[in-house]
Amino acid sequence: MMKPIIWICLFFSASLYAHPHIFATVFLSIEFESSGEMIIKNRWVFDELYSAAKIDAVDINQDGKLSAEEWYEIERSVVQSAQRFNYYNYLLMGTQFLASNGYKNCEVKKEGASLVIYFDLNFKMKAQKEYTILTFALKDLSNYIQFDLDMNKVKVQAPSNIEVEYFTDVLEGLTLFKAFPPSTEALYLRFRGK
Amino acid sequence: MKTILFALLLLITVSFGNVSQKRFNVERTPATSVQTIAEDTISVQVPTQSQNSFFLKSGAWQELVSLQKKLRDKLTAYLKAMKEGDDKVIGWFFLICFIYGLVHALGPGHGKSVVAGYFLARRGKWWHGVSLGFSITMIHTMSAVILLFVLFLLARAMVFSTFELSRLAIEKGSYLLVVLTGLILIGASIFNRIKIKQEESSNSIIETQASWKELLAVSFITGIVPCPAVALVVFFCLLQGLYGMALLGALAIGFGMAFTNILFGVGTIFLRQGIDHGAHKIGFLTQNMNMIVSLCGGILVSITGLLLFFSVSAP
Repeated sequence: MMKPIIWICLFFSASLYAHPHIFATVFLSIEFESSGEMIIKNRWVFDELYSAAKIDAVDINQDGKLSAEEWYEIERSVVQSAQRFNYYNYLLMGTQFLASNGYKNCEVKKEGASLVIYFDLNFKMKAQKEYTILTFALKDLSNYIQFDLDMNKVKVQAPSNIEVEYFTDVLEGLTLFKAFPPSTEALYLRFRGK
Repeated sequence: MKTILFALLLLITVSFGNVSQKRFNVERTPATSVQTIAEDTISVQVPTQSQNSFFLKSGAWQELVSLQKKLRDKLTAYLKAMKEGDDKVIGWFFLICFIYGLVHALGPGHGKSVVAGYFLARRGKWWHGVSLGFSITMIHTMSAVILLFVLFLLARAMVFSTFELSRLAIEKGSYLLVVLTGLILIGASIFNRIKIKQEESSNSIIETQASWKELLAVSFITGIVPCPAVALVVFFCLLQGLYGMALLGALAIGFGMAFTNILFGVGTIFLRQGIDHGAHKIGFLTQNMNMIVSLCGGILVSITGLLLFFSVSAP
């Protein structure tokens, strides 16, 4: 008798976590420096509807052109405000999610009708002789922004003194990622110094 | 020769320098201390709530999200075509608006849980379900339209940011009222049970019927939060100078969302009727069962309000 009620409750509690209103297609490339430092280069392309609203919202003087200050306002409200979520870039090493040392090379522009944001995240690391494993996922856990990222298209580059292997798979079964939907695609990397 | 060239090309594409795309055994790789690898390590706090629900696990939700994105891209394309004078797409625009609303309402904050919870707590007829589902959605849609039109006329340069701020404030207030509504429904079901016990008339039927007065109050409390999805479409229309389409498109989205809410409302009414019927048939303490179901409804409404409140109040 209670089963249908429980199923209804489960259905609603599930959907309470998911509510995307902004869509962004993400392109990533991961670069290792010879020192072992890792740089995740983000490129976010927002959907046209949100792009139009966001660009108009910062165009205070309504002249149809954005000044440097107005472009910066987008950087501040979109990128800087995401700092507390590590810019939605979650990098797991061992049992810790690493925080990046801020972001660099941020560029906000309009490409076609889309708002596009470029920025780099740096993670200071040392390459050891043994492999170090990293697991990477990109997700807004509040589900307000839906990031569309094809992990198979992520470019990984490393200098000759660092050896890197990687593959993509879903997060299902990883307890440290239990806040993420299990079907979220992740990048599994391991690297070592030569 | 061609095969060798293709293999070489593939090798170059897949691996760059010392990088290779290859599956390795994660468990067999020895773990090294984070401190020895990461310099100036500061760890990031990741929320601990699990999203391991069967719904999200099935991937069905991700499919719905992708569908919403595709529909929104189509809406944008149609609006741009209309701006350039192509009137042939108007019919398609309204159809896509309707479907978008229908799919979008499956997400949280559009009244489904409140509608379902209310009709678990209160017995209703199918037309009550239609009324509540429709009125919640129309208030939800029109609050976004009115707020946006007013802001667009009064403070053009501040529309989007002001809308977001206003929406957040209204959201918080509304979700607290939803919690209160759930608590009232819980209180009412307990009060009714105690009253019946005191009167020692266990065979009498507890009057827990939906009333128009309650329906109106619930519609207003739940629906007053302006829908951001509607707002974005309306705002995009206004930016293109398509004022009529802003209103009509919003209404089409509203009808789509209403369809989903009505489905949940009427479905829950029939479920409740089935539970009542089943309990009566097997003679299982009809009054107790009635109280349990009513309590579940009230609890569902309260929890929904609480979860939504915390989701917008999180730092």
